[in-house]
Amino acid sequence: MIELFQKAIPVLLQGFRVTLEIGLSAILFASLLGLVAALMRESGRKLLAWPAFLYSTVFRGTPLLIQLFLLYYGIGALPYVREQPGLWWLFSDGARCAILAISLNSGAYMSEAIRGGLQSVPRGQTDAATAFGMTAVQVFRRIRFPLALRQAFPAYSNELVLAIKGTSLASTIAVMELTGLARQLMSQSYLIVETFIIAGLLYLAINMTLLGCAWLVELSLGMRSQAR
Amino acid sequence: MGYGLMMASLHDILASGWGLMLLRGALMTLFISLCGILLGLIIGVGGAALKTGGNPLWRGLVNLYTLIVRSVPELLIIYLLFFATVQPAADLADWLDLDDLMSAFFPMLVGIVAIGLISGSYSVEVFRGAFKAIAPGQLEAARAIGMSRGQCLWRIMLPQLFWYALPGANNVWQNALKDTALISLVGLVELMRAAVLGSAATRAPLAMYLLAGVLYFIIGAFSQAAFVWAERHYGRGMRVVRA
Repeated sequence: MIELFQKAIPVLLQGFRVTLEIGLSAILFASLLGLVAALMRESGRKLLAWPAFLYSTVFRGTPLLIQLFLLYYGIGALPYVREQPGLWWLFSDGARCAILAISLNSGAYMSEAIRGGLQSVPRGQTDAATAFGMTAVQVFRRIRFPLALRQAFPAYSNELVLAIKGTSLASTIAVMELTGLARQLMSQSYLIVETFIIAGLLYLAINMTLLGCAWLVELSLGMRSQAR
Repeated sequence: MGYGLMMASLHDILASGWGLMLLRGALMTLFISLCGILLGLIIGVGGAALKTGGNPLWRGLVNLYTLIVRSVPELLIIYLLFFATVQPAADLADWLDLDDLMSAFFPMLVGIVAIGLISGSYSVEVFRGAFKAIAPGQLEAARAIGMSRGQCLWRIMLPQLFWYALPGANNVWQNALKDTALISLVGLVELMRAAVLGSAATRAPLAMYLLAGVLYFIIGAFSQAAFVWAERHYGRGMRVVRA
């Protein structure tokens, strides 16, 4: 018990911070990527829709671990990448590479969630807005986007949890975040279940906070007051 | 720049037998996913039955299980299963004098149990939805014409349950397939591990991981097609409003 409080908890809290940093940055970039990809898919232009479709299909169809190793060990080892300072900055550091991989992966899933929202907006709504004299931009900003956002939000908030869980893979490229440190403790000590419980509670805390925030957003968007 | 290099290393990989290694790894991936999802289906049906049943204690336990397994990273669960059982398993093997057998089957067993527990937590919701989709009137009618509880389950519930659960099960399966890659981190030689070993041996990580990624994608795409076919095939007698 003393060992637990002296050894395990400070170590795990340190990993908790790294997990939060990677997770929150990945969520930020993934949301942007997802939104852009979804808009490209729904733009009605093949030249835009196809790359977005390809992106979402490829990244959803393969394991995150493969994507991470492909970026870190594969692309990061190319001579060309090593010569470009900007690219090298990105690929040489495990944490940045992890953020990149999780953003790309999670962005693909988020794009599907957002696309579902965009598709759910009834045609009549946008037609009416157009007939009313709104420009295409106004229709999007005032009608389509707000409605799509409300539809997409539950699926989007699920992806937040998945993105946080994805950060655990950063430990495989030597970034010592929560799961990596938990693994270290489990392999070195007899505190296996205890370590799992503490690390698990920390993940639970992150995810519950995120879902709580999502719930507050839903409240403020007036999604919760509607009768279902 | 990289294209010529890429083709050359692709040729090297296939010529030096790593293509075959990857295929064997893919078979192991399929095997683990199938066993894992079967275990997960059992957990899913059982969990859904407990959750829809009246007992609040059981319902609470199932909820706790799904909450924990869904909010904690898969990798952490795999590490827990591995590190908590590796020493007892080694002792048992020592005692039984079956060290070779254990070293071959232990990672596999951990993998199957892990995939089962993880996919099971999602299957519970899938089957709960399917249970709910069956109109209670059907069961009442079946009981009224004198079917036993077992007959009700076997003739009325299960065939429909299976069909209602198919779309959700497809999702669970696709995730299980991708989650097996994590089992490579506790030493099981499946597709991901084969790619890691191969990229160390051939010094061509980019081509190796791309190849493995393509294999994952192919398995996923084929099983997706199988699910779509099954939905259509087994849905022949179902009354559905098609969009």
